[in-house]
Amino acid sequence: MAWINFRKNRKNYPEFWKSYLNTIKDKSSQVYVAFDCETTGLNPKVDRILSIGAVKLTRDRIYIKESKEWFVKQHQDNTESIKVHGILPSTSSEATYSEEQAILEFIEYIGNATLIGHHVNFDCAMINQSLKRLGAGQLKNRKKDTNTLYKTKGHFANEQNFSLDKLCEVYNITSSNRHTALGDAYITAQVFQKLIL
Amino acid sequence: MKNTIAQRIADFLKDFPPFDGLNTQECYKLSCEVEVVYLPKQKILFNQGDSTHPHFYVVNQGLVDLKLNLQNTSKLIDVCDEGDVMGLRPLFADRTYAMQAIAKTDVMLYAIPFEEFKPFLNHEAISEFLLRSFASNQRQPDDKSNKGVLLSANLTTNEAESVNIDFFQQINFTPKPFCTYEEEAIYKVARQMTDLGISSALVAKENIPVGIVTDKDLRRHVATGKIALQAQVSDIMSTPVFCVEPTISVAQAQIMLIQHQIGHLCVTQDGTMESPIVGILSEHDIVTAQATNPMALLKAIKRAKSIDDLKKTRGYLGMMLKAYLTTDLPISHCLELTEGIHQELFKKCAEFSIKEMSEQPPCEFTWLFLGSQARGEQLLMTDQDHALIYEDVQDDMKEKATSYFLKLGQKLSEALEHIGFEKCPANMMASNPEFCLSLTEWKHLFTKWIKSPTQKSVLLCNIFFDFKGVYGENDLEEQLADIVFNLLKNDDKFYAYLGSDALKNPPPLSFFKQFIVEDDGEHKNEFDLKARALMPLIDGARVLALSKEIRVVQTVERFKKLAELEPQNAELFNSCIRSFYELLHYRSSSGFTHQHSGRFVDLNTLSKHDKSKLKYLFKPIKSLQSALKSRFNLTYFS
Repeated sequence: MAWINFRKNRKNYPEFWKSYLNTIKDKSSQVYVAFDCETTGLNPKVDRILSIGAVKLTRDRIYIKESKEWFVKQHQDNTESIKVHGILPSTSSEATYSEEQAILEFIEYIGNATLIGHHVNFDCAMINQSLKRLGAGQLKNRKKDTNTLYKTKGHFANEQNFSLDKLCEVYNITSSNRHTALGDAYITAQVFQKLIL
Repeated sequence: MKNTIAQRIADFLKDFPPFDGLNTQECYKLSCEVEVVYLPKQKILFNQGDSTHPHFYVVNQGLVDLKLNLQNTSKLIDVCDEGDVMGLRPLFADRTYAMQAIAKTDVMLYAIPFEEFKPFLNHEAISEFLLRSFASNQRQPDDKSNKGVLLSANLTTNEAESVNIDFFQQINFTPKPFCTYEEEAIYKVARQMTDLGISSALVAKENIPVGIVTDKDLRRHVATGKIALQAQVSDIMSTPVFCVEPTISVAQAQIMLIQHQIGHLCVTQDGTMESPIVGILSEHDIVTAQATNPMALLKAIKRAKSIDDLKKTRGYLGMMLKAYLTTDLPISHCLELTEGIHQELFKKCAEFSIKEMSEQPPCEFTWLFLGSQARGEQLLMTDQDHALIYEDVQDDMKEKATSYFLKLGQKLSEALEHIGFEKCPANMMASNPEFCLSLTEWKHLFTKWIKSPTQKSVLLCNIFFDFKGVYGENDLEEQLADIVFNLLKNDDKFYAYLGSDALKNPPPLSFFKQFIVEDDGEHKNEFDLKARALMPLIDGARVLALSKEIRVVQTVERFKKLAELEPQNAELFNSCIRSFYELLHYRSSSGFTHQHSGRFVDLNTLSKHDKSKLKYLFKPIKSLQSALKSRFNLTYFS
């Protein structure tokens, strides 16, 4: 009777997730959201999101006004892992969002857009972990990964991977503000536009 | 917290005008509104004639070509690179783009919304930038590199001054505008405005402006039923009125209208709201004043009420051409425009002249233009060459017709002189009884010229064979052409005369590829561009065209038709067209720059590059002359 469980679970979802599930039903969106998470490490199970940066775009336009960056306040216990990974949130003093606020706003922001990321599955996994902690389900948006797109386009072997820096070099994109969430999201957006032409 | 991308855009923009006039905060705020546009190579940003976008563009990366399309050819006007601004047209109150913008490489653009930019228009640095943009009508007024200019130094010495004129000229406002007073009933004002055919009325108190009522106010307040028809004007008027001095320039007025988003300015004696009204200035006045707008010129001609009005428009045409030539617009475009505008101008001239006559013409007639005017190859003001042809009438009417048309011819010639075309020193004008004739008389005259040719008659033929009707709705012009072509048919002897006349000017370059300069006289050691370079092309085209019964008179059209008829020589004819355009452009620009006919060129002022360019342009002349020689068996003639 799995479907009963499913129905039951669904009823217990927080409000924001219910409205997200409603939005995502419409698959017609032409809008893309390129995003990137800065995290305390590379393991979604234990590491936390430090910041999320996102921009909205269409095939040929990036809307700066519609760009957003959330810096997430860190709890005591995961400052430990910051030390372990040697990554310190450079903007920790500016961190103003609780994880819940950040995720709520992010979900509202992306709506039914197609998500773009470099290694987008990792970023989605980070978001999904946070969603799980909030009692919500997993992201259901369509996804495009710039690394995969580039490999398909160039007929590279599947095992080979390309860094965002490498793609910037290939497509002649100026990569300042690297390694801030918003900066990377913006660069990913530009890479994506060139890839889909 | 700052948006890092917007910050980066701001960092980029702040180095380029006009954004360098903004402070850091303003620049950042504007950057937040930017849309980043990615344009792959060959993709079009906007097309000539497209309605304008809500954004203008700054190139961040890559190159964008600005092109002008004329008929089937497209001409590169400019290439925009990093930091260049384009697409400012909407600020000029234009609704369509004047050029095409196309990505030369992959391009990244910052699209900046006008809405967000408008608040900064009152910054001094920014309005100055825009003023200069208006002036040069180009993307970057600070750019002095003169990209894409054909003949390097010569054309551009006076650039700044010459292009500015038409934009900084004073504007012609409407004097003594209709004024009403605050207590007047709305419906009465609306009726008066309708009767006068105006869209606005100033509200004044003892001739001091207190407000303005426009169609918009009537629509917004009265047509919506908010305010009753019987209410007072003061209930709906906009106040205060923006006032300006009578000496305001076109560009200043335009900027004010944009800044305040209004449609009218009140002109007062000293430009303040406390001084008496002298006139009103509307967007319409600006459009008319914009000399770079040929449509406005045509309209102004159509509306002209006197010869003086026409004179003014011819003046604007001159300024417009000057600006066009310096911005390196294609000469073919200039010629087309000038011809169209002249056509209207002369038509109007004829209308005024007929009106001045005590009675209507006794029979059909056509006013013909001759020589370069007929060929539409005159950009500079020259002397007038024209003639008049009228229907054959019965003998008892003949005398009356003769005297009527001669008188009309005199009036026409005077009107042209008033506009600025000097009278023809050789008296080739409709005011001369020799050239104001009936169809039969013309036939006799041409027969005399063609059948018993003399040096002088060949000279006359060269002028009179290029004729074009400017006024008269009939087929007299056609009939005259029939007569001429019938006379010329198979007349080898006359073609030999014509052909050798076309060769009277030796090729411009000597055996040693040196320029042949004048030996003596006022222009000693100067090169005669007209006689040695342009005339051989024009004359050559004429002889060949006549021999092939080609009826068009424009030199370029003649070459085009010839190329069609003789594909084996198409290459030669096409190179003649190119040379002709370039040489004409050169002559006209130097004429405008130095305020003379542009006929003589002082070789010492030419750079080496220009000289070799000129030599290159002369090449087809020599080939054309050899072709003429062999075709009409001319060797023994010359």
